[in-house]
Amino acid sequence: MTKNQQRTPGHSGRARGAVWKSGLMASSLGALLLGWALLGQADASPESAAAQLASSQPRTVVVQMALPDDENGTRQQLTGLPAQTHERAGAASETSAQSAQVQNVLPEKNPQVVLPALPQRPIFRQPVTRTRGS
Amino acid sequence: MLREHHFRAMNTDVGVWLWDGPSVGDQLLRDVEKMFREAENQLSRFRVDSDLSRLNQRAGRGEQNVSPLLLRVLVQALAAARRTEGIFDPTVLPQLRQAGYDRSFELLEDENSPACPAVDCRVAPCSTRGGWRNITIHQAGSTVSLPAGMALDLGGIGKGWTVDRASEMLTGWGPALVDAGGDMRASGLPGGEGWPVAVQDPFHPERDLLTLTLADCSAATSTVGRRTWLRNGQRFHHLIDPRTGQPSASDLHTVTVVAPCAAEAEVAAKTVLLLGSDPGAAWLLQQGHAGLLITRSGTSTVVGQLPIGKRGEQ
Repeated sequence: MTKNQQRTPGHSGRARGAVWKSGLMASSLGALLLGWALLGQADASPESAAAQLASSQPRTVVVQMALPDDENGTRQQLTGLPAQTHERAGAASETSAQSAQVQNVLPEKNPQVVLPALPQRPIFRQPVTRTRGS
Repeated sequence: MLREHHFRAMNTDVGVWLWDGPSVGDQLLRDVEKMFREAENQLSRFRVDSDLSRLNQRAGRGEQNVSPLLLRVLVQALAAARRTEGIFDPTVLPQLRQAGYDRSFELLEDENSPACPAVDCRVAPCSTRGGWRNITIHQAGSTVSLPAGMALDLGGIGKGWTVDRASEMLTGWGPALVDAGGDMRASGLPGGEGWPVAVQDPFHPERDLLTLTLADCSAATSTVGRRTWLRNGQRFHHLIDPRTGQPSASDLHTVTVVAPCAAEAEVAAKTVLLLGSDPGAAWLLQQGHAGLLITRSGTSTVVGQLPIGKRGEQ
């Protein structure tokens, strides 16, 4: 009996272990399915994901303009452009101020770049021709 | 992109600039040169076979057929003569020859060069006395009658007219500037700006007095400081005053005029120079043009709203 009794608990322990393992596997499978479903939902709405991504990271605006060569034969460098449109906490620099201005102008869902007025440089640095009497 | 083309025509340097032109721009600029050569072939008094030379040779022989191009320039010249009350006069060629301008200027600089063999050297002794009024144009038949002894010089206005036609050719292809020896016409705004044109100091040719910014307008300059020659030790210039039949003796040395078209600017600059400072300035304002008047003593006066970009650097 004792032996049997000793067996019985061993047998019933293995059975309880199998149940526990099954439950663990089921919960793991459930968690996997839930995660899969959440990922699928995220894939279905990329804009919101991109928006979340954008809101968490600085946005960089690249502006390309054709500019005349400067006196040294090199292209004019753009300065003072809204290179980043995020505000840095506690930073009141010129760039962040311009960024804030851009953000105020632009609707969030239709990002367009409105450039602040740049100092105009003349196309012609020298007269094209000269008067000559006739 | 700025395309440019330079060539020599009408005894002067011609430059054509086309801003941001299309891929056919280079061909367009060559077409402009072709048009200049065609106009020169018909309007030059130094070419014996030009339409103008043939017409001059047949003065006094009744109606003569002329090309549509010559007819158009002649009509414009006579309109200018009326507008200036004869101060601009296309019939001063005999007086010009008498003064010694009887061959193209390149040859004139060589005192030993012969006169153009086809030139009729009959010379009107003094003023033209409004002889231009005796020219008869029969536009229906494209024929013209010149009185005997008359000869036309359409050099200045012909150049301006050709500049205007060249500018019209380029219209629609982009902002353009056409410059034929100082007669120039600007159209459009390259890069949103006007065309900068320096006004040369006539007494110090290496310096500029100021810079004009031309936008959809023209400029022309008349001067007694160029196209001059020596004859019997005396210096002559080519601007004949039809009131005297002699080279101009007004107080003005150089006049630059800004006007809507090049032919008009050319006529106005010559007229102001012949009239002199005060009457010239009054006439210029009356016409609604602007200009820079420089006297023989070197005094410069801006008349009207001259589109000055910046002053010249000393």
